[in-house]
Amino acid sequence: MKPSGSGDTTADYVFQFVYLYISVIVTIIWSIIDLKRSNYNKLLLYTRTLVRYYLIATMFSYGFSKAFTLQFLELRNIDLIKTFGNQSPMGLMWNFMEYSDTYTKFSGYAEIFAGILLIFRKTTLLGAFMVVGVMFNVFMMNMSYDIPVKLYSGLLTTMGLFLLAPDISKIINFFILNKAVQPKNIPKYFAKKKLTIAAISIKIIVIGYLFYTNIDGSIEGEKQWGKKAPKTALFGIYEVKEFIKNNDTLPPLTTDTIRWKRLIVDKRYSNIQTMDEMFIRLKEKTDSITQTLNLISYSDSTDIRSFSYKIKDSIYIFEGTYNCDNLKIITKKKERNEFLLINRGFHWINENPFNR
Amino acid sequence: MPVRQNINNQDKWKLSTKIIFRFSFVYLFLNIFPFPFYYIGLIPGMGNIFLFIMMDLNSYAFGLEKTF
Repeated sequence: MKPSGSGDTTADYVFQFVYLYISVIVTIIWSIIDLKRSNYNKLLLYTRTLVRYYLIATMFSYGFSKAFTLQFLELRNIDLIKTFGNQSPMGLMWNFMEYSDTYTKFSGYAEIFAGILLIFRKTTLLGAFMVVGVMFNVFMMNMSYDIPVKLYSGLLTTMGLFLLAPDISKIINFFILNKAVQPKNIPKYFAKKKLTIAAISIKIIVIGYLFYTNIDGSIEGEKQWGKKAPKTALFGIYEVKEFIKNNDTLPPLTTDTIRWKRLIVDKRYSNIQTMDEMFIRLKEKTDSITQTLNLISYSDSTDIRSFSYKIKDSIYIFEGTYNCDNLKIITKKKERNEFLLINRGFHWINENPFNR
Repeated sequence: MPVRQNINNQDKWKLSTKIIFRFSFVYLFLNIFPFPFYYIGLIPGMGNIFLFIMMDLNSYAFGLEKTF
């Protein structure tokens, strides 16, 4: 099974079904052979520790990727062009997050903070509350916008509930019944001071390692594919004004499958939008010194559209040959801040709602 | 004080609590350490058995046997 980027493949559901099946069988056998045991306090303590550290690692991983705007990057040029109705629900949700750095970072900080609270047993209850709140929101987004991380976000929510479960009567007494609750007994792991120091040292190393790898990886990711990654020289949206094929100017008919409507160059890949609103996704290679542009097909690397280009103010003229046809394409660059979504910005004061 | 002396072992858990804990423990453990299931096929003969279980459960549960 090749990883597809989806966490909700058929195989994932089958694995979950197998896990549930095995869990039921093991629980029955365990209950029969361990009938007389009065409690599992010790195993519960170790299981909670395992679940806490699993959640800390996961919350940090998701949190830092949001805090450094790597999970949700910035709106691509093609996102500004695509019509609302032609987006997938997941694409819509992704664009919603990518629009706002502030909200994306806020979501990331919430996840990081939940992870930090889980580091200490005294703050684990509050951390578990945060994990359930944050991850259930993620789960509901995944359910509502068809994002294929439904199983995993559901699992993380369940882990948060598992941490809350032993304190459920205290939570009900405190929040609902207005009754006094006793402080929780937090047992020491070790009697000997040396062992305690060793355990704390290991904990500092583990937590330090999680912080370091996540922050270092995020800084590197920012440079490689994040906001600090270099933009290609032709990054932008080019509206086609004239499309000349073999000295014949093609009229902008909406039924034309050959004539370009736009050339959209993004950081990672580019698109030609034809007049019939179709998008041809291509790998782009620009040499700004020789002023050449190569658009290479993803399905066939020998299928290359090669152009030289000239720039005069905001007019970009591309000239080249493709499929034995001589092409001259006169375009006008459209700046990102010409879009309302980009130029509207934030306003503390709104005398009227600006809801368009 | 070692942890075993600190934990209240006189506690009496309800039968339902014990069953829920056993189930939760196994289910969470399988999800945290899932890799043996991915590599189970390396054990001679186990790959086919596991694949058969997966296909069988899959076809009964979801009717998606064609996927495999």
